[in-house]
Amino acid sequence: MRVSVQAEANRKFAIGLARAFGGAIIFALPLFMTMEMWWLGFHMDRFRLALLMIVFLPILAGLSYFTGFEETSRPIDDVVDAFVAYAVGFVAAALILLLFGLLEPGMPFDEVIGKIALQAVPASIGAVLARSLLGGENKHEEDDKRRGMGYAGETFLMAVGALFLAFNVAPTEEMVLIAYQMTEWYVLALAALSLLLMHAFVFAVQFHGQADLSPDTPWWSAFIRFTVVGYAIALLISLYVLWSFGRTDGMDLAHIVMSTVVLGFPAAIGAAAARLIL
Amino acid sequence: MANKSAQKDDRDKQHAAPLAEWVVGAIGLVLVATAITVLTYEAMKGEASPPAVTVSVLGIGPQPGGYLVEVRATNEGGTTAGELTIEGSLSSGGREVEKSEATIDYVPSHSNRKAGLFFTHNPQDFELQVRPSGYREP
Repeated sequence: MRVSVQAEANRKFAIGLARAFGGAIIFALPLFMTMEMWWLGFHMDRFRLALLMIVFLPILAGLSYFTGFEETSRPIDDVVDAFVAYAVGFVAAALILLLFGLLEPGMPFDEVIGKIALQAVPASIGAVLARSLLGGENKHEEDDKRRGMGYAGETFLMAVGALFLAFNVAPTEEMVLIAYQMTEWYVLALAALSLLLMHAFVFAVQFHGQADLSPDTPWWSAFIRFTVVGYAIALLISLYVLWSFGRTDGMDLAHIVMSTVVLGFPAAIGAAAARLIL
Repeated sequence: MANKSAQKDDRDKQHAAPLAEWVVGAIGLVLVATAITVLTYEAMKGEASPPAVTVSVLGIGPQPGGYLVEVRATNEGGTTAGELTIEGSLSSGGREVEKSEATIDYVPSHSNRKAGLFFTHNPQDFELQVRPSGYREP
């Protein structure tokens, strides 16, 4: 009897694992096919890459808690889930990079590790999200968890959404190039548009019936509690991602701010959409 | 009450991570720990010596309409060379006959990349020289 329970659990886990691989590949494919990502794998600052991997651990565990590909009940299970996601991310990244001919015999170990580790980061997010997006059982329980997650949880989800979208576009040269082509006024307008779109999403979520906003909440309350906070998170995350990829090195403050606002645009949309999608 | 706690117990058992999950989780832990260790080690080494690139000739062969000199650029320095240019020249008795150039996107530290130089004259009849001529920081 016990054995069959264990076997059933293992079978379920195997299905979850297959789903996780699917998620890892779907979510990371654009980055697997981005040449800047391959290059960053070897010339990115080693300390910043190691830090990125460490920073993602609590994010993966938290994401597993809210959406994960295994129903979890204890905190340790979420930590295990985070490592499972990393394992899936590593294997998926290694497999795809190998197929693309980007890992060759004779390459220094450091280059191989760097390339795989960097790609494993977005892939692992896909692995965790696979369950909530590729379907799964126990939807009801998940809804319960979501309703009870409160303001901190909502903010966390916004951060994950911002991080994911920012990570997807930040490696490309275009982020800095766009900032070079804009004047301060364009950047201000982009910041205003980011805020406006975010606020529109906040209202969409309200209609979705997820946020704890009652219909008689004044607009500025939601604006400050969700939109402004969300945008601040999006900007901070954009700055962190740009710094990680060495895009801020040797730049003056004005250009750092401008690049941050440019990357903050997709990050803001990611933050706002995360609450709707996840 | 007792019934409820028993139910919760049962639920916990059902939801406890299966063995396979712990195994895959452990693999993930090993992979992450290895990657972080390697990266931190590289960071601590603090090797920031500039690119030190040497170019060697791998082979010379005829091509439709000319000749191809295959070269390999090896970077023994501690940092990546971006947009590395390789210059090849054919000369005879100190007089330059023909010049050719190739650019390699990136040559990471302690790595090598291959490239090719085209010539119209047969390099075997002349003095062939290949050398790296410049790079930019990535």
